[in-house]
Amino acid sequence: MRHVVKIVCLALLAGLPASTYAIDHDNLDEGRPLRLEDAYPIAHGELAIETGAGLSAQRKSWTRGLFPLEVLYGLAPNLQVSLGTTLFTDPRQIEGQTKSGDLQLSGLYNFNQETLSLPALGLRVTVNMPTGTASSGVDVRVKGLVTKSFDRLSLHFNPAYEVFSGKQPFERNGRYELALGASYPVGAPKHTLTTVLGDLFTEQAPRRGEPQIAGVEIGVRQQWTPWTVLDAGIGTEFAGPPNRASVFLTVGFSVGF
Amino acid sequence: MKQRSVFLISLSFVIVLGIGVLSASAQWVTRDERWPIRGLWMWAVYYELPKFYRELNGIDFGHAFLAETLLQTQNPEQVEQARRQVLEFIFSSPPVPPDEEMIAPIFTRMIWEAHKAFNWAHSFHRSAYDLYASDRVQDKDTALQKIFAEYMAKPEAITSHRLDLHGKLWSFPESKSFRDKFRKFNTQIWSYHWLQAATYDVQLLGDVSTQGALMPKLIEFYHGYLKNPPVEWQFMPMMEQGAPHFAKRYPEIAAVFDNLHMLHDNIDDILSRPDLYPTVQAKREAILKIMPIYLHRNHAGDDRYAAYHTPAMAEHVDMEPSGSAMEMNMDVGPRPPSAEQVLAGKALQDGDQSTGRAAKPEGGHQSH
Repeated sequence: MRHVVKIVCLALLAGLPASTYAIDHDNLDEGRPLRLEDAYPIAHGELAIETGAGLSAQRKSWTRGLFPLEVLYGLAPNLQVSLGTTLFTDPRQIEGQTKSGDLQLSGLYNFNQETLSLPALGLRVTVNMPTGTASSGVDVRVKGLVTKSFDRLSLHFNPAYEVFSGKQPFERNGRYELALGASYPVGAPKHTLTTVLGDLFTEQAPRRGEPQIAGVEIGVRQQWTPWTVLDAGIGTEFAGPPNRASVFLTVGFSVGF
Repeated sequence: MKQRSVFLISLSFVIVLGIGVLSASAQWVTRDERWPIRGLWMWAVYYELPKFYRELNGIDFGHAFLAETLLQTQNPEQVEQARRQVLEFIFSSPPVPPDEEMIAPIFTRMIWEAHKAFNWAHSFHRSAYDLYASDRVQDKDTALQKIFAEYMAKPEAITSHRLDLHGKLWSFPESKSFRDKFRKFNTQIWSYHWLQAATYDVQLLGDVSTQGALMPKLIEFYHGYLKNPPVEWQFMPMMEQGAPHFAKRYPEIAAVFDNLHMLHDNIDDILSRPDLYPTVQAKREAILKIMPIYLHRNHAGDDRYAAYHTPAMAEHVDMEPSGSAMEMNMDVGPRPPSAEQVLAGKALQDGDQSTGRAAKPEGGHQSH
């Protein structure tokens, strides 16, 4: 644990920016801190780094540490591309096709701005490359992003499907994931720097025949400086295979350059 | 299980696509959020002129909160209460730019087209301030022209043509409504615009240490306006009044900012007339009628809106362009002082209503 704390502190220090404007802390990105995300990319021309540290306590095995790192770039108006990876402790015990050290290349396109009558729509395509420990096959995931707001409360719906290759015979060819959640700026309009969010999610278990995973998670995003957002989240999988996560938590930050 | 999964996934995507198809026939607008123009100057105001940086954050809140308030009420007491809330926010010296989409969720979703034009122009404003606050860039002229060119290249850029702000663009059925109904709030908004203009002339006076020494006096004067709004003003402050030297050196950029500020006034007027525009759709349509006049892309080629340019004599005669229309056609009341007058202690702030806390423009500015 001391090692984990040391790594987080070093990452924070290394990430302190020399300079920047106003990062959009309301722009929810997958993993920071929840799986829930909105339909919007980062700004055109923005370069951002998102990183953090987390723990996942499994019911039937050791608690794992995880360290995600992602670099994002606003390549064109309404289009964000990113490259990232997540390192896990005890990497050989990871179930599923996304392994420790796999590189993930992702593109997120936003089709429209939300209006009073229309939700915002977006699409994220992610290619998971087998660069990690004991990884095999290229996996592709397509995720729909829908955001609809009521006054300051925003609802987000993220349906996704991932197709696997290089899998074991007892693993699925592909699986779906669904997340439905909400975000709200606490203290608005006079205070708009803190956003709380939460979601319910469900996804198919990696192995054939295992029960569906379902869980809940909550988190907070706090704008720290004009260009830095801190986040923290906690959740649990309340249904699923015997070795599902009893609790998982993460802390992290995003920096826009 | 497999069939159920396929069904659920299919259903999800059908919902997403269905919404998309339905959306295509209704109002559809792209987000087009942009990061500020990159250069050595980035974030210089944050580091070098932090007090001014915080004033800008307060101004951002002020604009957004006003629009959202006017969408909800025309009750004078409630609008006055909103004005005081804005003042509280400004005087809290906010260190981080507020999220305007969360301050004004209805306004931004009602008319994103206007919001993104404001956003991009405000970003241009901030980039220009950053440039002059950065001693790392020596050739400011070249860098400013680069920033300006990048700004103008985007479709939501506001035109650099001088528009007939005092005439045609203030003669719509709703024009002057916000000024006449909510004079204190209106002149508070104009005070923001005065500070935004006057700062450029302070920045022309020297390097960042000089600016740092001078800005407190300008901000103190601006706070005087906030505490006691200059209600005798009849028209918004123009760039050549607050920053005559900057406006003379960069007339196109000054025109962009004047046009930007007038567009704020036009929209506030529309939001102040629920009798003319009772629904959000009616308000949106009214704003969308005016918006194209201000967008630079509509002034290219055969110029669809040439009729809205300022009268030719004002552009070619050696006089203040805004002055022509003002003096010929309307009573604009006392005019705001220049930055130079404020720094020299020649601008009146309190008490003398007959002179309107203004001062007559003078020469003798030593610019760099």
